[in-house]
Amino acid sequence: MTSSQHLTLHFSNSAEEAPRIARRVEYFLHDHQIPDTIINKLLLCVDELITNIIAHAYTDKEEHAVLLECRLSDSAVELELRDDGVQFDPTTQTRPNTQLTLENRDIGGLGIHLVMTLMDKVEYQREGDFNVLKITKILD
Amino acid sequence: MEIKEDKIDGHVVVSLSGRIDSTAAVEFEEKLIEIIDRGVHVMVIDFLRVQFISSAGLRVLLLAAKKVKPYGGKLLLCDMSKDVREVFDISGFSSIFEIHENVTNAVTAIKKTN
Repeated sequence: MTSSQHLTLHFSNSAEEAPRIARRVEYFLHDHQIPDTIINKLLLCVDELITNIIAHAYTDKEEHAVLLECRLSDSAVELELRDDGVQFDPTTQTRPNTQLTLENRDIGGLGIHLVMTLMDKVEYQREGDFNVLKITKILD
Repeated sequence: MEIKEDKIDGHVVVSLSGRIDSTAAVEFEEKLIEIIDRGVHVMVIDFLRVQFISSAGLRVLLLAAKKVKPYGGKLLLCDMSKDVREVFDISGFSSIFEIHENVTNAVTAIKKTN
């Protein structure tokens, strides 16, 4: 594979969109021979990030457009999510305490913790009214 | 996601397949709660056909584990791929769940504690 490949998906901030997005990203990555282990890590992160946007980005009950872009090169897979929700930088959130026992364990913050750990790079920028989050997985 | 319930040597084994993600979480939770409400407090959850599990799926497991704990129950997990195991390790869930190689070992472990 020598060329750069691109996937662009527009979707609304609704939970019903998640399966469609997952399928599209999966097919795209599979078609470009990305290893399953990397596909699964990326799909996990997409699920976490989309879920967060749907749950927290908006305080109104309106429909909002979210943009997902996936860019492939020989060395890495980059995924960018762009939403116009409230400012939220996942890279600066407090990480959960993963040492707690069952009784004390909670699920808050775990999704972002997984993204930050599974991906090689997680970059956030606020561009005007938009949260722009870019996650990168390096291909061996 | 698909979810199947079986009995092996009298013990409940729940087999999962596909993506245990935010879309699957509702059905996953309903199924585990339904089993627990029947009075089943010890069960094996088989991850053999699981593609991946996200925090939504982990949340369901945590909920179920907390629900059976007061009855002295537990969830035994098995047949995880390397990637799925990694997610359990990262999230600290490897230390709050008993994880076995396969269903046979998990069922044997239940018999030993009975």
